[in-house]
Amino acid sequence: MKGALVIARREIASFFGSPMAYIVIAVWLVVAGASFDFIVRYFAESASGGASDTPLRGWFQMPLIYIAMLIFAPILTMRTLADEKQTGRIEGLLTAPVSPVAIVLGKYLASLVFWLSLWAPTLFYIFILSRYGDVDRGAVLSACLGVFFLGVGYMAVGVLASALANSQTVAAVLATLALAGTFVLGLGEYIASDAVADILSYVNVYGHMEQAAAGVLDSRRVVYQASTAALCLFLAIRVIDHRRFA
Amino acid sequence: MSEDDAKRAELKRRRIARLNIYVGSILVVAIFLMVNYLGYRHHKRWDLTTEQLFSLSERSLEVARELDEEITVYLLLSKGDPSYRDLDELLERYRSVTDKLRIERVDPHREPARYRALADKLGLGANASRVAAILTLGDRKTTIDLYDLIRPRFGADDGGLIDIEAERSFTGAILDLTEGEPPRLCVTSGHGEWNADAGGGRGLASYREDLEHMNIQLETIEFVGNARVPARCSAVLVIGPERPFARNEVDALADYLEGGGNLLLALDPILEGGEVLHTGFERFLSSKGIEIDPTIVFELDPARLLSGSPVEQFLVTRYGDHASVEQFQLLEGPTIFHLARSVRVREGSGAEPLFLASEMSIAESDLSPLLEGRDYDHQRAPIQGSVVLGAALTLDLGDSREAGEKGEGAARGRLVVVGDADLFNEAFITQPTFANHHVTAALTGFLLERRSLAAIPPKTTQLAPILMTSEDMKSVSFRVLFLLPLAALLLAFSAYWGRRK
Repeated sequence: MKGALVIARREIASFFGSPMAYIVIAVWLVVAGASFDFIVRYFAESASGGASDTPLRGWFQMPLIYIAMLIFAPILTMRTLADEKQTGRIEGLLTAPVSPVAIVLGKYLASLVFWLSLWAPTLFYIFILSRYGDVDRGAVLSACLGVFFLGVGYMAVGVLASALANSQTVAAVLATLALAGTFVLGLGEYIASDAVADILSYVNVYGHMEQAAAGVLDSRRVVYQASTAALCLFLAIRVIDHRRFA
Repeated sequence: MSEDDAKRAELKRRRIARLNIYVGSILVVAIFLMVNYLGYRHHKRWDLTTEQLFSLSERSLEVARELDEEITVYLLLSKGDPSYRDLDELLERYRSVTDKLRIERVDPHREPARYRALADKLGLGANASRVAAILTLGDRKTTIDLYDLIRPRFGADDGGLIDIEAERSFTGAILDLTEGEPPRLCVTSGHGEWNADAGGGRGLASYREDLEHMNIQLETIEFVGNARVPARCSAVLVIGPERPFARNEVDALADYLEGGGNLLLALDPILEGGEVLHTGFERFLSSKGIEIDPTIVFELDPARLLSGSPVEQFLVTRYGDHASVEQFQLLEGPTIFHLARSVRVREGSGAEPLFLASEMSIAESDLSPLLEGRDYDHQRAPIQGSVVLGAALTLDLGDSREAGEKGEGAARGRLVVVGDADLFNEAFITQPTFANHHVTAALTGFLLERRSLAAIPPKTTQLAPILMTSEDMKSVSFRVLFLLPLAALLLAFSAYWGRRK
């Protein structure tokens, strides 16, 4: 675990020492800000919705946010392992006294920190709205937990893609395809029927966030994201392990 | 060891290592699938909202937990329907409490064949399109209409009210199925009342069909001479009698009501010799604080007339505060009346008005000028403005031993009086543009304490809504679209500058 923390710290320092990290955050804030601005205007002008419908809920339920994440999440993870391979540093890492588990976990923890840093500035939106009315803190907590667990799954998929690919670009494309694939598959819930719809709703990431944004946390969503993360990290460890013995 | 042996050993080691990876991976994938299967089967949901907006009420939780037989819910909504997601979410709430609820979603648009087969099997008939869900338990079934699910919001005062009509409907429907024998409505006959089996003008076939969807049975009872209300009757309906009831018949109904029975009187004004014939119920109703006048209601607001005649087919959009019709105050759904008599409620009697004609309406007892074509002065009518067309009363049987023995929720005498039997008219009940279907269903629910059994108090929220002026919105736009991204860009520049240094 100590090895994992050392690697995570190194990754985080490297990420935040680079201007690219802030540029990614700035681009994300433009996308998030535009959608937030749109939804706030919509609520203010249409006076629609019941007591449980709020601009924050509306914002957290905007599909655009999660479609954007299909691009931003791979950007955050693409360099974790693929960059090491691309630059040849992976051999040094593999011969160092750290296990593949520590390497993958370290990279993953760092990715989770990137994910949270991407979302952290949006907490400012809650502060802004609280000046004009009451914000349901419970619903906000639920939405934040939803975003966190989404990151738990997405970052693991990204790290696996990065472990599989030899270049950052390929890692990003792989991760985007995997995330977009499951995202679209989940949307199938809305057109499928009965048992198939049930299964698809289980993997419907947008559905998960729709529910979390309303203020309801479901153990199925937590289990799905956490187990996906566990599976992906296990496979990533196997990939690194395989490379060590190859 | 020879070189070949060493190579063979190395190959074997690699093969074993590879096999380990494959077997391990398969095991992990199997564990992944199993964990997700278990997670799916045994899940829990937490409503983190401050005011528990997405939690079932105590009453619904109690009803769901007490289920000991499996109920199948057929959700007959298209996935594109605005109510679908909310209903699905609501059903999930029930499912998180009980595993005795099986949900089958049938999309009428995407699976028309399956939908039609189900509609035929469950006998939905001509009203299938307005059914949102059917609940079945064995050979019993009850339906939930689309109208039962939504309580539209009108006006600013209702802003803090959470819509719980769907929950009320589902919990009520579960109770309908699980609570013993289906209730039975008994329609009297022998005085020219409307026929429970016939359709058309004086038939109750459409009303009967509505009741069957609610798992309520309708039967005719002969009520002439030495009549008694059979014990199997959950409520007695007297709809549109053309001849007066005899005193002993009224007494039998009065005794039934006093004993905790439920009675609905829909009394048309029957004209005979230029006067409105008495019904036989006048004295009895007067003792309960409700006066049925020998009058005919004239709706003088032209906007409410459908046929041009002030007495035939006029719309009523004003409803009293009584629990059974309160919801229609917001809906303002038009209920159609046709040749009605006025009903008056004496103050302090406990009876409450149900329907009110417009402020321009009048009720006239002397019809001779109109019948003889003489000049008629509306100003001289005995009842002027906002004529009441129906009333409801719940008898206070607090001291009744019988009621006490039945415990909490025991049947109390419930009385509904409507000055027009056409409320039940097939032509009006089957018209979705009129509220007659809803009103008759609501009155039946009141009489039987049915859907209202699920007495779920409305939820309210104390959270102040987000209110913004256009200046506020500009300020928000500036901060989220400009300041925040700019701050991130400044950090990027600072990182770049730090690196250069």
